[in-house]
Amino acid sequence: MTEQREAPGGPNGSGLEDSLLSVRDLTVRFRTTEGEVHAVNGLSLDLEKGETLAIVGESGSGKSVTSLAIMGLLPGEATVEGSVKFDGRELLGLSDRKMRRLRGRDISMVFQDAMTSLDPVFTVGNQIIETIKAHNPSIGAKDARARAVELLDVVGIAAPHRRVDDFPHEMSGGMRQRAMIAVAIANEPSVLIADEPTTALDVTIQAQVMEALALAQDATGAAILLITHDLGLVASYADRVLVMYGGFAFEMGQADEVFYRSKNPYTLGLLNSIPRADRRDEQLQLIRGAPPTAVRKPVGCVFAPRCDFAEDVCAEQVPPLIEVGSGHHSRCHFASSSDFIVDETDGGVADLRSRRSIEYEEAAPVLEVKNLVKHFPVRDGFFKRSTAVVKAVNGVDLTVGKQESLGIVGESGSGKTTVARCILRMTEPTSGSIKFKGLEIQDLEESEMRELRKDLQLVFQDPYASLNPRMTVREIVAEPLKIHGWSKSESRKRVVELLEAVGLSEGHLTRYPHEFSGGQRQRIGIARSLSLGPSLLILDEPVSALDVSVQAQVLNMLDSLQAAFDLAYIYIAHDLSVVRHVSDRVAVMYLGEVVETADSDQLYESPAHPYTHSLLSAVPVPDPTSARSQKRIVLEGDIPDPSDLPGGCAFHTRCPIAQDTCEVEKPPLRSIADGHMVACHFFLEPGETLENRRAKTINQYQLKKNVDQY
Amino acid sequence: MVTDVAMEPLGLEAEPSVGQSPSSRAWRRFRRNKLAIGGLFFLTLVTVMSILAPWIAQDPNAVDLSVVLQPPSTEHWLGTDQAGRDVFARVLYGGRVSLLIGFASAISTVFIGLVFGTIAGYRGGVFDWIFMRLVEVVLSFPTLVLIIFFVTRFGRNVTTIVLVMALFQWPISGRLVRNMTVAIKEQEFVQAARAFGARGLHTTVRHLIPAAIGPLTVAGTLLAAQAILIESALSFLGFGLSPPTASWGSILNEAQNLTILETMPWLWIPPGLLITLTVLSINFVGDGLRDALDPRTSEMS
Repeated sequence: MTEQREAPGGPNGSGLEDSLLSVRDLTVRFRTTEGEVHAVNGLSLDLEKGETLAIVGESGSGKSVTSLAIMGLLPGEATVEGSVKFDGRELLGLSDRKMRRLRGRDISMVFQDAMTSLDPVFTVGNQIIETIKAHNPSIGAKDARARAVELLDVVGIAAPHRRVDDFPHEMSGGMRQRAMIAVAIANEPSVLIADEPTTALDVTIQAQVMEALALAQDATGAAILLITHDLGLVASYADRVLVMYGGFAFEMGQADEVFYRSKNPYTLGLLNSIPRADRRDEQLQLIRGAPPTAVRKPVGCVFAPRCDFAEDVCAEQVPPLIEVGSGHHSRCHFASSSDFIVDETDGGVADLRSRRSIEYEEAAPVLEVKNLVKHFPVRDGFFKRSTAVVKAVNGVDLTVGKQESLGIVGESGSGKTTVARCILRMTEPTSGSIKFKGLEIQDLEESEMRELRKDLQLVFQDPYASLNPRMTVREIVAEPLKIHGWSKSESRKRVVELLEAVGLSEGHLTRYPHEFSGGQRQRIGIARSLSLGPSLLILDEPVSALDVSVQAQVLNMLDSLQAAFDLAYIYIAHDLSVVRHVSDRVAVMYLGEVVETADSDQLYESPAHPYTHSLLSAVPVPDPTSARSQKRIVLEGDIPDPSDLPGGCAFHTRCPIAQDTCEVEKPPLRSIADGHMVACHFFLEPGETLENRRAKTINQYQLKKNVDQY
Repeated sequence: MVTDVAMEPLGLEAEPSVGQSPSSRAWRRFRRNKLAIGGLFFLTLVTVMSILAPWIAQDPNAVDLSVVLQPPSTEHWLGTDQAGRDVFARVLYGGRVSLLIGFASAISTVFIGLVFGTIAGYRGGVFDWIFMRLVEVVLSFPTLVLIIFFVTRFGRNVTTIVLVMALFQWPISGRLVRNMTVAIKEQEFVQAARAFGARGLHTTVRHLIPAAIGPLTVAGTLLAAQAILIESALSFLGFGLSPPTASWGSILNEAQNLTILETMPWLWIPPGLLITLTVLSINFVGDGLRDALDPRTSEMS
């Protein structure tokens, strides 16, 4: 370990002038009605030609503000100090006109939401041409258009000469994001800032977009500043990493250094608290509390209130950025003196799964879904005639045992949420049977259903939208009790019990939802769902809206509640890593069908369906070495339109190993091992990968062709 | 971008403050708005003075031809008019009429709008379609002309004016409530209530109406202000309450004379100023109420 010293003038010490983009002591403060917020505090970074630097952080870490400060796009009430040099030229304080000339030509940006960042009234091609012309007015119309087509081709859009005339709404989400990358690289910028470029996208689409970004980087040689909260993405795509927290750089270094030899309690906490798809975590380590969203003038270390290793000095002095290895810096008073090993016996670690030893197979199932179908007619025109049918769910079978957790995984449009809504009878299924504790839900009268709702509850994805902002916590949690006629005093007692069960206290009763952080709000929502003592809880993406370090708290809490309240869970998610952590069994859905179901370990270790395979391979793993060795199968195209399903196997249009049979014959869901069912004609054996299967298929095809010739 | 630094004052460890009722916190939010406080003060003053008029002013209709068109004096604080009536008394009594018309028509308008708007928004379908077409038809009427017609047909009294105004103004509040209801109905917290087995009535009372109350209060204050203005316009045009009943508008109507406008400002400045300040105050109070009724508004200043 190197000697402890404060790095002078920033992380790279010497050679400042060489880097393409160099930020020194960047400070951004916002004046708000509630005082001054220190959004970025003395940040320094260097971006070299052609490299990818990831800024990773949770909400409020200042990562987005940093990127906007570099682009000169911060609003007027922000005070920006320090220095941002591009190619040796100071950008801060540059006039808007000069800055505009730089933006798009030298430094370009890819935003999170292509739908709002692309102009809906112009075609994609026009927007690329406009960008080209803004910096190269002399270019001819024909050349500009040719260039636009070429750019769309670079980012991997099929049939670019046709797509160039599409409007943004005519493209799918992933394609739009790729089109935006094409706009961003139109003038071959030397720096490309990508702010959460794939956050709103499904994993297989995320893989496509990241691929497009890599292609764009190859084609232009641009350096990429990747801003993200996803450590998996960082491990897979970044050369160097900057970890931000509360407006400070907490750790910076080569990706391998930060992931394997982190010298920072926050980074370590973050790495340990994320569930991973590539291994079964018996426990998720917790970081207490929630990240700060509005930092006042910092006195000590901003992470100290949540840190297991904090000592007196942490509350008094802002820790320096200490060099802990070659090009590796960490902001912690103890960066070079402690190894930050968590004492596993203290309360910081929750070990819950091992406590659960109930043999759920033997108990009668709580829920049995058989051949569930839900088609939505699309009504159009004056007479509201049905013009098409969206086939959201096409024959789904599910069983959930007592205290069992069933994970349902699928991308958007897979029908997973519709299944949940049918089970809760929030929408009427087209056909099929749903039996809850032996009762056929469809046959129940309104009043019987109301009784049954006590037993069957739902936790929503969005903790902001699912709590009425005008009701206090007490009113929110007591609402189901009120509906079911509990007396005031009974319900009051119950509410306090519930709040304590989810880690909140009586003192929160009169507060309103907006006064809580996302994680706390989700706890309130969970307390409400538990109020009537349900035996089955359907969780629809309960942590996807939360910060990474807070997700683990909620997941662990769900785990402990399961035992305490005797609950069965249906856990709906697009995030394979989270599902692995919480589920006993997993069902993978694609276009309204279950394509594979198995015990969670079996599914993740030996997936049989090619779709499961490609999903798993698309998940970025927060581990640079395995990320590098990970064979990423990028599925082509998008999920087909559920109103126009492909015939035969619905997956054949994207399947890397599809054969002629798949186009005509629908594979049934059949058992291939104990409890392992798969719907594929050519499912993969344990240990077999899509690559060697594809190689084999091609050989056979060649062989067959040869035979045919003779 | 700036949402990244949005305020969330309460950490998990932070001690929540106990024992503040939602209403006391709403009052604190209202108090933050200085204009609203000023408006509330002025409105209260004008209302109390108008109510107490019989005890603090002379008879507004007592004709005394010996003192016509006198400037303000200790005897007649705001002078006298063409019939020698005390202007101060007429302004106070006029305030009773104007404020009564303003608030009564606002309340009835809001009530009609709330009932129809909630039903239309919640039930949807054919009911909603008919409701919205009706709203569009009524809003395209030339309101003032029709009000004049009804008032002359059914009598120039307070009840007629209030009812007619409610009849033509309800679409404004009704459409507002209907649109709020449609938006809130789709929110997850309403779906959550349904998933707990809530009936339509519960959803309406606990979720839909509370969400509509804030904007509706603001609309109500605007409608009150507008009713005061319409009454003034009616009276000014000579279609207001039958004489000699005073209202701010009718006092102005009697000042329709070049000599009076040029040389006798005490006859038109007081009612004109009161109309302006009252309408302004009502608008300020409306703004304050909107913030106070939304718990998401920050309590700090």
